[in-house]
Amino acid sequence: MKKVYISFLLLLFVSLAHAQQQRDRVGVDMQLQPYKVSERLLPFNRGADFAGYRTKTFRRDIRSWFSFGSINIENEILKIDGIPLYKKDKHRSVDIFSFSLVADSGVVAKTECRAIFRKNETFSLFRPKDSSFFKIKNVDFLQARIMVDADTSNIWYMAAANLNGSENDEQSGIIRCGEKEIRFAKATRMLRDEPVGRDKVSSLFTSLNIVYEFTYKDEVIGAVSFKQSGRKFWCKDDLDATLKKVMASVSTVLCLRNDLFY
Amino acid sequence: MKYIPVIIVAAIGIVSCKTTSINVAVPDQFASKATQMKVSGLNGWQFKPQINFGNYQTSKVKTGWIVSSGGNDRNSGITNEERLLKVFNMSHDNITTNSKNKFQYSIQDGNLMADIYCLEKASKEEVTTKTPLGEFSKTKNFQYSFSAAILPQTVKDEQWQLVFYNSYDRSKDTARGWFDQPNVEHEGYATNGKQLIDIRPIITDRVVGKDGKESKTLVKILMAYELKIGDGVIGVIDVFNKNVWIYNDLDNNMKLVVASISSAILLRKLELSHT
Repeated sequence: MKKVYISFLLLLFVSLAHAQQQRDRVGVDMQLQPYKVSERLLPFNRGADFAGYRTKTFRRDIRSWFSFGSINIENEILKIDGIPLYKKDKHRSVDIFSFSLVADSGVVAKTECRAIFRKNETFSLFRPKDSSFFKIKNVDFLQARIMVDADTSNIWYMAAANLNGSENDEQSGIIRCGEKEIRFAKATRMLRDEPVGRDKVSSLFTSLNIVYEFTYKDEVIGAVSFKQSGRKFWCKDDLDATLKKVMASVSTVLCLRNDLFY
Repeated sequence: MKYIPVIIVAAIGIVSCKTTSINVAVPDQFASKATQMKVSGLNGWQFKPQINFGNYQTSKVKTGWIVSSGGNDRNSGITNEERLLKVFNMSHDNITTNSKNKFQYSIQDGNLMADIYCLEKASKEEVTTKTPLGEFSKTKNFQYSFSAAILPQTVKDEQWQLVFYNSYDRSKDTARGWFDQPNVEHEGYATNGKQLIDIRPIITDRVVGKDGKESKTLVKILMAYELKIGDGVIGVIDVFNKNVWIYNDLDNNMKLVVASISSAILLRKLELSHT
């Protein structure tokens, strides 16, 4: 009784919000087969290995090693509460790299990628940040060129925006070759945890993952983990070979690119 | 850190609720047509727990260790600011912690039996700042998922798949005040491909006291889970006082499925919080 009274007194000084709202159900997709992604993320030895594909000759441009901008210690310390006390934040980074994707049959795709991140923000404690106020927009853009099976007449071009999460917009991208178009976007999905196997009960398990989900003609064809820890790649087994190679190349870009901002 | 006052108040509220013996307010319309069963075998830590409620009994639960791993979740080089801060013994890291728990058991009511295989996974991403004055962290997002396969032993029955998850994303959270409850997504269901049982968490402040009077608690807490087929409630799992209600007008096979779902949810170990 005493405890009820004490907690009642405490609650006189407290106001509580209402309970959570109704939300849409997270999608469950059991058609996609999972593959573990093994990554090497050392400064001079970067690569990935998954679903029968592995990277080869990964090269990063020397310009990717440097970033330019004003040094603001307050940016690091005061970030935790989301309260910007610093006056100016100017930052510029690039990430330029290329690699080959190899399977048992040999080189299946060659990819060249360039990512640009430019940030020019003026912050004040009493108003929200808005780089568009002075008509200066942040740039968070990635583009890539994927050549599949050494076919120079059919090159896939990739464009993605906000992959570093610098804005509150969707993190998404598009890969196009002629009429064919694959789209991807950051999403939360329940996906199979282990590959389907005979008499394997564990293949019925699913888990919640933040992924980049790939869609082709409004149909989900694959996904790759957004987080680095415990990374997986999911793919439909009966997918067209070219689409699979393109999706594997794009997934490698998303795994091995540098986070220029978080 | 921001939610420490809420946790303290919620903990005080929960303790005070438990000491004053309150129960989840199960609607009379359902309670009169259902059987309430007290769950025993969940108190204290046990190496291989075994629970029973009503005429349902589980085997000893085969469980492994809770496997946890964590690491830096940022794929980039060190910035100039970070280099300078390290001189003063300060750092700012993006850490992801993953936990996994697997367990399996069987449940029987004397006539029918089902094998149950379960997997729990939890992942939390935090921004951790270390300074000479202490360590501060803020959760960016967390995902908890519980997946189970229920295999009734009778030949004609199909397997059931149970899916249950919680998800929190700070960038989508609209709670801003110190004592605002964060927006956490809850969802769950079980299906055999033909039928779908919805599992809805009941987070409420309405409870029934020892004297049968309905009252309000100080904070909203997770009291129970409700199992529904369509609009009809077929079961209630009281996780607060460890009771299970099963609707009487179900066939024995469906009752076994409801009992399997109830036992699986009660035997979970990972209860990851967004804080």
